[in-house]
Amino acid sequence: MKRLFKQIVAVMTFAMVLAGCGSGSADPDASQSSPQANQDRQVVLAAPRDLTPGEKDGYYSSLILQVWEPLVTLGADGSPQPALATGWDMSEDGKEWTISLRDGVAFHDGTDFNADAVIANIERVRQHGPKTSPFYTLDASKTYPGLVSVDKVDDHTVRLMFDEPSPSAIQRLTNFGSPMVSPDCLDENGDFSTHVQGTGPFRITDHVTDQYTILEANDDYWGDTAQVSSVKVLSMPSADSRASALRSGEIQGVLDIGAILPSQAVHLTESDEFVASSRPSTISHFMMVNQSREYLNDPRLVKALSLAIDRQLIVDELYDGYGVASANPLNASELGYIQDKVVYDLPEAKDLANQVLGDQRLSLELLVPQYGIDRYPYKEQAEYIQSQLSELGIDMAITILEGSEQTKRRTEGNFDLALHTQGMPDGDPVTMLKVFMGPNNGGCYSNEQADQLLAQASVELDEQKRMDLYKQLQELALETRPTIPLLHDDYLIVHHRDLEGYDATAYGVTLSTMHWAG
Amino acid sequence: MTNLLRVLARHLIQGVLTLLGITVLSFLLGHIAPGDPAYAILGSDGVTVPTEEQVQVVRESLGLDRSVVEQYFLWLGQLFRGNIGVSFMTNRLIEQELLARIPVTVQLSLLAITFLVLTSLPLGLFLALHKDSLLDHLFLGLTSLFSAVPGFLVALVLILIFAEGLRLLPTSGLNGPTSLILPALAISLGSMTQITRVLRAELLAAFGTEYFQSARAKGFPFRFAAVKHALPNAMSSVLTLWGNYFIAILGGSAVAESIFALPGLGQWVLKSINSHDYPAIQAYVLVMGVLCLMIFLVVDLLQLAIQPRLRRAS
Repeated sequence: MKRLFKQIVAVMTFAMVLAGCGSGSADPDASQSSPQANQDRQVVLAAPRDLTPGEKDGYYSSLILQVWEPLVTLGADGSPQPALATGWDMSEDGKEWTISLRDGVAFHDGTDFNADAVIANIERVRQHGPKTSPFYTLDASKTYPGLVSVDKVDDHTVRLMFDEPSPSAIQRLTNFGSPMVSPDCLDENGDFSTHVQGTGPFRITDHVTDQYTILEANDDYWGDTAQVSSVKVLSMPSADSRASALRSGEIQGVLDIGAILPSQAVHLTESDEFVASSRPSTISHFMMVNQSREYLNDPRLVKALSLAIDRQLIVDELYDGYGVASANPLNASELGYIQDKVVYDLPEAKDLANQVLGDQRLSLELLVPQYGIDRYPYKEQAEYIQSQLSELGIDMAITILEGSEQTKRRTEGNFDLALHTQGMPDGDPVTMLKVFMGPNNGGCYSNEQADQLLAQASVELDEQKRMDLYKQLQELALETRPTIPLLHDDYLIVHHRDLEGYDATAYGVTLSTMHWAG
Repeated sequence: MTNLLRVLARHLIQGVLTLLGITVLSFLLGHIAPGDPAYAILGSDGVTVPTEEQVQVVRESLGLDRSVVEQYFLWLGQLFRGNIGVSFMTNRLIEQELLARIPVTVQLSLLAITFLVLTSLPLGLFLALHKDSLLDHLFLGLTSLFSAVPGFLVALVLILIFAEGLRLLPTSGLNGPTSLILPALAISLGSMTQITRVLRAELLAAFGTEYFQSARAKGFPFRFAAVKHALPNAMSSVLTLWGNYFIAILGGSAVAESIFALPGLGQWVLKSINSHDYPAIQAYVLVMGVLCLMIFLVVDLLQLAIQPRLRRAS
């Protein structure tokens, strides 16, 4: 008995030692300190991946950390908006773009941001690209197609010369299309030799791969400075761990694509402690159809597949309402996007399928990428589609594949149906429409009218006419179905109520306006 | 001394042959698995669908257009020159990745094996001494429960209790020694119950042997005889099991490292497998092979130390 008592005391002592080591509880005195001291408290956030891939990455860190800035950013309506560029002008023939640069801006290492820096950054991509990245591949042939030269007009003006009319050049420079970093932080291979030295409201002061990135406010920022002085961004791959860390108080919020599962957001916000913020994102979800395969090359069957899927049900039940059901391949954040009305009509779908298949049953395979299961409810989505297609006389097998293997099979045309995610590489709607309607599109879709419209939209100099071409292309896509769009994703985050001014954007969060409550 | 040298020589010869076999297997496994690193590299942003030409350029730059045999011998030659390679995905030296990650996984595994030894040894002895008691029955029931529950579920329950509920320990990340307690517990709990059970059974068997009975006949108290005579013999099989479990823990740390966001070898190799990063996967298998051989050697040396029969065998 005496021994048992000793053992209990030992266990309790161990527990108390652990309690002393615990990091879960916040400092009670912190909330009573002065407002400025309060904002000096470090905010801890978590992301599903390391948002700072480092020196070999095209960008070093993600745009959402607000360390580097682009020349041009994306407005709420998808239009290009000034960032480090204050204005731009296209020549009459569309082959020349003159870009004015913001004055009085310096990189974190003190180097001036000017025409020389812009030229160095563009030349870096041209000479050393493509630079791969988990965000977007930095590839001159896609971002600056046909670029002949980039010249300095004066210290704060550059001129981009193209070999053919490039009316969408400025749209392709948005966000990941034009990262501006100090030329002094790059080595001879275009890789980073130090932490990235950007112009953003935060600078990186420490980074440990797959663990964390420390951001400190840049007090010399040209715009409104960040409201908190320090942010620690943890890399936390498990969604359950992120939710637990929020509940335990170790982190105050989450960020990045797939930061929190919709069901977790619903569960967390049942408590008054947490707030969810969401915004239609630049990510869309699709089911690609291989239209070169027998039966699937019949537009009636593709239409039947589309009509048999209740997209609104997928959004409501599988994404807990965080998304927009859509049959439009263009993302809602793109310039010229037209909102479509999704149609679910199972009887008509059955009728169309019957016209194509008759009494026979068709066997198809649906490829599901592993990343879709990790970040989104793709497994449930696939099972729902399987049950719906069964009604049409289609026996669908589900094959889960690692992402790159699925991409390979899609590229080779070795598939029937494939679920996939598509982000917006830049602000040019033609880029996205070409993925599904252009040459070498994954679905083997072929349409002469689409080819003509895409070619016209790429070179049309009149903005209004270009917008009209975007509209025509979307209408054609809705009518002829180069793919089966399912929904546009919401960028969803959850944060503790102690944090204010922290909201989701189309691709990221409002990191610089985030501050402690009170 | 002769025996010690013999053990060392045997391990050295076996080790070299085993490592050679490991290099062949690790190389072939990566190449046989479906998927293409070129697609993984070019499509790492999840948006880019590469063209055949782009894929071909990357394959050539990585040397993947050569025959598998040629690639293997090139890699082997590189290894002999002390160059373990460069990651396909990150372009970083694998040596740097290993140096940063091996300590995390080894620390985690050592803590887990420490938990395992410190709990299974006294518990096995206690239960053997109190056979058929209430505690004995209770523990045997718990053994079945822990054996049936997967490690990741144990991890989530531990987080729920100690991080979310009691807020005693961090949920994840590497931030001081306390960060390793929950993951080490998560990966050792299942093995702990099984090894305790084996030790209990071995001890009970030893209690029925002649040497134990003669020790008792000489007048040694039961507990003394159990610790002095039965335990070293029972330890023989348990020691081998500890060695095996240590290897399993090293390999099985991947799940724990992923859940607890620990930047160890396991988390790294999971990412490498997903991106078909052959050099990284091969390096991981090779490192794990070396670690396994070292563990086998330590286990054999410990066997030699606690088993007089083995020492006298020479």
